[in-house]
Amino acid sequence: MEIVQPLLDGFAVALTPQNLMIAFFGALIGTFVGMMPGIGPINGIVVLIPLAFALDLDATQMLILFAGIYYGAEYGNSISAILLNVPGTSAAVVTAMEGNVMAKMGRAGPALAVSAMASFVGSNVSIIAMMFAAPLLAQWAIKFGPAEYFALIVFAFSTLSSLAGSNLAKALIATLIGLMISTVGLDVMTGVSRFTFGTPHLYDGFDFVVVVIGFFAVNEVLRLTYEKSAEGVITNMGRITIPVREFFSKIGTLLRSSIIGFFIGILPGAGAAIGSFIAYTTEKRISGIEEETFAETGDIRGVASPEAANNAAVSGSLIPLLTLGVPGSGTTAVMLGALLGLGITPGPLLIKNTPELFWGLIAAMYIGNLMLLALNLPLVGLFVKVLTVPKWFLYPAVIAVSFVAVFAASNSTFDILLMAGIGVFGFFLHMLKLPLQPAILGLILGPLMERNLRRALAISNGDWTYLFVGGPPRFTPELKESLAAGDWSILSSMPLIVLSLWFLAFLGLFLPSLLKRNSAGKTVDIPLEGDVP
Amino acid sequence: MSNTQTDRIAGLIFLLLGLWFTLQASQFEATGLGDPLGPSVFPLILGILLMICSVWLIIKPDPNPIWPEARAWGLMTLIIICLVIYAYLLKSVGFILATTFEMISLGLIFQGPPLKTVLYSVLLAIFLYLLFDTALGLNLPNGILPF
Repeated sequence: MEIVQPLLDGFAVALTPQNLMIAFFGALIGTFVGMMPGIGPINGIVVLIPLAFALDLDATQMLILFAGIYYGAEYGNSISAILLNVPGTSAAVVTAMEGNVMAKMGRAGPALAVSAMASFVGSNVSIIAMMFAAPLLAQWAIKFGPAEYFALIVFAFSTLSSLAGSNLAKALIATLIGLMISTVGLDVMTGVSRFTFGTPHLYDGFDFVVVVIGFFAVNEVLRLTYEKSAEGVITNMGRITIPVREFFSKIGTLLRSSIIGFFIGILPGAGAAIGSFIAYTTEKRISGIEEETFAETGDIRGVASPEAANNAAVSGSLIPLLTLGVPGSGTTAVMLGALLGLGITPGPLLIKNTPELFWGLIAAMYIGNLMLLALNLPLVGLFVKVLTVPKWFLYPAVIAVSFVAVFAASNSTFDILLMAGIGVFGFFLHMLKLPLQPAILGLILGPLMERNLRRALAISNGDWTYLFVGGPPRFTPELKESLAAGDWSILSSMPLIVLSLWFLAFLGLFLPSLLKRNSAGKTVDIPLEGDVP
Repeated sequence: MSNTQTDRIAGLIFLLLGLWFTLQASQFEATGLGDPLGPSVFPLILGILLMICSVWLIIKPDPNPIWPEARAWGLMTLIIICLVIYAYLLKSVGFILATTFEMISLGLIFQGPPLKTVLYSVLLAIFLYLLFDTALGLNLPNGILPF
């Protein structure tokens, strides 16, 4: 497998002045949205989508920007975790616990330094892993037909639903609501209008930008009316450094956590939050420390491990998005929505057909992480000031920018009212503890799921068992003939893949109980990224 | 029993939604070439699954959520009203004035000091217009202002 030459070509793409600037802004915006409790990378990305279209960014630049926001948020989230004891995103829940103990012991500075450096290590290890793993997965997936894709999407839904929140029935309802919203509009294959109530506004269906902004930005502002904002920023940080020797004495932890985070990230549904959690509990078990936190014993592993893992999970989660076209989380689903909007359908051929996109992204991620390391350490003082910004200053502006985004996407008052309505709906879903991430995934994957289902049934002439047999993706005359003659052997060329995907989908439903056993009897609610902890 | 009623009511609503969705879906009729499933089967499956999950929720509900107090509900209603007014103002009076209105009203709802809030709102509305319209080329409505 050729790595060096494409990577060099990728750097040629990433090092153009314009792309360097895009990577920089991605990292900066990511740090900011990651740091602010209540706003996550999904908000940052979705607001920028209409802007990216207006600026005529190409797919590579869009991915550089959005990936930058995604991993930048994993740097930023630890700042509020350590200084406020409020995780900026749910991937920093463990960091908040450990980091705040360090901060209370007067070691906030070292905790911030460890967090930034561990994030950097986690990112780099996982980008290297991504360079090898993504082409391999793509090669394997090239044989996927509609039955395989359908099973894969079911797999993504089952793991995300089972991991989101504590009640499986509710998460499944959320997924179904997302899928239902996705069916609104004119049916692509037949032109039949579905659930449009006869209004032309809904013929194109619900724009996902409108739904995501309603769910996350409007809903968040509504919740501010009763949620207490965090108080008591620790401003006495001390020096933001950590002795190099102390940091690298934990290299085993860093590498282990990065690898765990990376593989968890590849799994659909299990993103940075779960990656950081599993890496941390693994380290805890290995260390044999009996205290509740590492930090009490003066050990930096408690911060290093989750921070390495959550950054590694970001690169991991980009792999199924790019090589299969099936994202596993709300944030990557929104990135897929943006790519589809450009007419780019990610899939097994993406790396081969548009190498400049994949390798340009890889190179930009190396560069972006260097920028983040350089940004994070000296500028923490500035970020602390931003953290103390009052509600009246920040959130009216968040709403104004969201309105700009929706207006730019559709230029219609109807969509803005729809966004407000969806915000209210999202608020009630949140009160009922229905997780919103699965709904977003359902909304964006819905059309893909239906298309594959219908294509699969077209291949098999309406025989549903094909979904469990799988086989060649194209409906050829020979295939039709042999099917008509009752010969199924041509389809069952590789039933193992599709069957194992169904098995995984089934297994996914029981992931939480497996995880709970892993955490030594402790029941911990694992919040999902983007959803506010 | 009574401390789980919220989830049961929600389950019932979702059940009705699923039923309505299923009934609607069963009426879509069209056949395309090479599309034996047609437009109705996928939504039909979704509706039926939603009904099953709703029954599951009704049978195994969680304890009631803690609803916000009356004051918060009032503020939320105010916010929604502001957003709706903002949506209508955008096209009629233009981005800068509409955004100034939204920033001031939400800022005051979140207890910003009046003078600072007004000043900040005006400045930010102009800044956002310059950033998105003038610099980045999004076409924001000018409305009644000449620029």
